[in-house]
Amino acid sequence: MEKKLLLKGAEAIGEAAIRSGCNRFYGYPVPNQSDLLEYLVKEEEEGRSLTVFQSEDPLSSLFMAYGASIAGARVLTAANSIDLPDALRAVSYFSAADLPLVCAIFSQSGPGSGNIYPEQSDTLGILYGTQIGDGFASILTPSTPSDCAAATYKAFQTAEAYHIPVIILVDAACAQLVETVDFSTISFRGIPKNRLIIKGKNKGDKSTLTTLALDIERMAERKSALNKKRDSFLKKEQGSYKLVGEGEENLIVAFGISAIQAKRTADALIGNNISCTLFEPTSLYPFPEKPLEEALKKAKRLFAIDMSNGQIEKVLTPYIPDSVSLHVFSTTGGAVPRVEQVRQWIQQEIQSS
Amino acid sequence: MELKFEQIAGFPKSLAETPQHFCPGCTHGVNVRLLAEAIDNLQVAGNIVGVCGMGCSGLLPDYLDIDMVAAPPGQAIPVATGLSHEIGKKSLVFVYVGEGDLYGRGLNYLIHAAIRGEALSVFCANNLNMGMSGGHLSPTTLLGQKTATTPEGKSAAKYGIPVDFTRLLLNIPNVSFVARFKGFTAGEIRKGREYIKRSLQIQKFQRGFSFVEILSLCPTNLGLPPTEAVKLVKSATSGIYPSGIFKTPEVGITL
Repeated sequence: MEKKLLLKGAEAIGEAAIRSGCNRFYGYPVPNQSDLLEYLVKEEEEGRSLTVFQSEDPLSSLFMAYGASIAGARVLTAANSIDLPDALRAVSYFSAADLPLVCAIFSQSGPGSGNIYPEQSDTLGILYGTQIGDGFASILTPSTPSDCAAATYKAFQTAEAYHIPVIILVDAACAQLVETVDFSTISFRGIPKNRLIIKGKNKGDKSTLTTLALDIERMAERKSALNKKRDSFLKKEQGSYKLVGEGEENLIVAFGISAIQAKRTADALIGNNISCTLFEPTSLYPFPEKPLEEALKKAKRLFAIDMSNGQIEKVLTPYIPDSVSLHVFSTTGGAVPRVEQVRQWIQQEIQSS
Repeated sequence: MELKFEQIAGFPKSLAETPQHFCPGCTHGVNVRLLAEAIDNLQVAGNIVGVCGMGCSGLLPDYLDIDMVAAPPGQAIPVATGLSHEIGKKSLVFVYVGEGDLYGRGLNYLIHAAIRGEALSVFCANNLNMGMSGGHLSPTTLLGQKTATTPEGKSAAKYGIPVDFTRLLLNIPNVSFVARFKGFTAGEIRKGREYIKRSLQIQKFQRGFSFVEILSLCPTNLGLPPTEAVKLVKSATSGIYPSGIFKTPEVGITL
């Protein structure tokens, strides 16, 4: 197997999935997901150990994945912003059924059909939507194709270790970004296998799987088991993040393509004698609370950059102390934040504060 | 002379010994028993997985002594498809769903699974209304039939003329077997047992997709005593939902 490959973000997810032992992909051709679907079909034709299936409808691809996961398959599926409610419905069922799932969600401009250009306006929808009925899912937010590959490995490990759905949230820009991905540097731990698999009872006792619980006590028991599972998940897993620089007065926070632009902005600011710390959360659930709080201790200003009507503000607000002022830079409609614009904005904000 | 006894009928092994929660006069119980008998007869209890839908069929995992999955509303066919892709080579997969679920939000998936000829045996309990939700209008509700959402009777002007979904499948080349029986008359129940068995056999011999509709009774929501419900449904459906085998493989399967 080649160790270095030139891949788009969406393709890197597919390649990493195959290397994680994923044996089934159910998908549907919509923007960005098509790149993943086409890449995996090509790999399947070349004899890699994965079966790809294009379903008749985005919702059914998610529930075919559900069936395959019940039968013991390690599945990958994907959705696009337009089909986000379908994906969240599936997440609710996977969560209720204690089944592992890795689902890539490609975020484009919305609401409605919007356009195919990148936005980060699904952030809150996914953050809250995964908690429908008190279910939960891990949410990873990689930026570069290399990060997409690493996030995919982590997603399969987390999904199989806790038997939960894991979402890899990628904006349309990161999905199309091309980079050489070095697979030799990404390590991979073994995956535990002990979970409910239904494939015919043979000579043993029957196994059934239903998320229906008609009486109140049975449902309450299930909920309390799920809550315990969430608590133990949050106790063991810390949110992941990237930190560039340390202890500066100016802290820039961004994820996805915005984080790539933020990094370039920080480099440009150094030329103007303004130094910044850059904090990139690479997972939203669990959120890297403590590292962010630590980074905020020495900061005076927090510059949040995203591509929505300020959704990142709602994510960050609970962790910001009174001593730090919050400044939000947003672009919408599918435009990626421009480095020069962000740099000027940050300098103006610093001068006026 | 010593007498030797051999059991020729009895409680099916694959039927769980647990009380069922179906309403009095409901024929879901008959359907479940027919499934259990077919499974026993083919000796496939160890390598079969059933998928049921939402509604009264969602109770099946408790009543059959085999591996079962309860699917989300409308998603029984996709879930069964995923299962079949993964285990279809070693195990049989069947689907048992009500018509409200299968012909309503699940119709797209039924048609596409049939077109692909997925290795599935699909059994649809058609009781002319959405039973568990409280007797609402379903895709097969007859013209003039009173339901919770058509208290004056279903009107053709508003909801169109009901269609026989079973025979719609006949246009699809990859469908191996299509049949329907009334699950509430003795003669037809006996035939139905063979249809269910044949459907599973077809899957066993890798002949793809088969479909059996079971015309069922829901006296509770029809607001009739079971005996009168039998009479009414029998006469009202003989034209629009006739019984019989509509399609079967030409060679290879013998009963």
